[in-house]
Amino acid sequence: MGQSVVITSGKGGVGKTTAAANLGVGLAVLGRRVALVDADIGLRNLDVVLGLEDRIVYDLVDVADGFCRLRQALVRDRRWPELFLLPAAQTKDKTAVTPDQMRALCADLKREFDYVLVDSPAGIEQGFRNAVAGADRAVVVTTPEVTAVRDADRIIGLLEACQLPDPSLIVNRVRPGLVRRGEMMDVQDVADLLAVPLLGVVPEDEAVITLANRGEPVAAVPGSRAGAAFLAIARRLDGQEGEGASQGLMGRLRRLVGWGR
Amino acid sequence: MGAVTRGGRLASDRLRSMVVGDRTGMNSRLLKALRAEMLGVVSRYLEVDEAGAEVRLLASGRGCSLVACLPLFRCRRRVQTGPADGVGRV
Repeated sequence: MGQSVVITSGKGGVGKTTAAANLGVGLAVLGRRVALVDADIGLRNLDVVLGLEDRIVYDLVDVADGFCRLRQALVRDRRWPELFLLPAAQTKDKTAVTPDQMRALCADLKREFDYVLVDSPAGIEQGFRNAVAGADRAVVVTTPEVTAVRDADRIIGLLEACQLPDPSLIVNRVRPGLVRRGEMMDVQDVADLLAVPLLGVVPEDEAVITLANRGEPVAAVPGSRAGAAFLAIARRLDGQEGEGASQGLMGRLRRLVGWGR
Repeated sequence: MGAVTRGGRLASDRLRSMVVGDRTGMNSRLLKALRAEMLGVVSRYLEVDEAGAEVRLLASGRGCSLVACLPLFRCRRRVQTGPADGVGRV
């Protein structure tokens, strides 16, 4: 029996889909059987990031409606035979599936796969509710920007309300040069404020864009900084301890004392 | 770091106050009202330096804390009241 992990963020454009694709690749590289589920119905993207857009026959809604069998809708990635994609429907909208259907779908997938990674749509509405419905745990993606972190805080609150406490955090698109010059928020500041364990940090990397043009996830390409970061995060997700932001009483005390910051 | 607040620090400070507002549903107007009421209550017992008083909401863990620092002019009770007398009078 595998586990299902929802990749979510609240704000759009922070790299949820990129993170989902690359964590999927990373886990497949580690030899895990992985199903990537695109829950962004109506705005499907995960197939494009993976370069699988031409191989889609059926989609998630077809499966939920019983129009095809789950196996028929899963697209195998030929580069990593243990990696499969369940694409979103492009012509429907978020109301085309229910949280109950998503729960059933994740349960079915968990019987066959070690990891079921659900790529959530942006927002806090039905698409988000669907994406988290079948999840055992959550990964929140943010960038070190005020808007993205604020939305991440909202999402973490909503995840707690959905019985998914203790999500872990990926801070994406960090620009070390800007951080050094004091012009970008520090990752530890972000993790301290959100008060969830830090799963990993991904530096901004042009390769994400240039490779996405060709449908290649960065984690597949040796030498890319973002790719290496995603591979490390996949290893941590797969069992090694997270980096662990400083929590607990001491952390709280420190924050209270440092209130003038 | 010079006299000018760097962008990263500024972003972090703005973010913190937004997140505290989101979590508590408080805003600066309500916090001002809370501060005024708190000062009113405490002043019945102690002489508070009202100008120097700070009442803040801070993010702490996944929640928030209300932290008040109310400096006193004199570290003495305003009026000696009996041990059973719960309310001091000026």
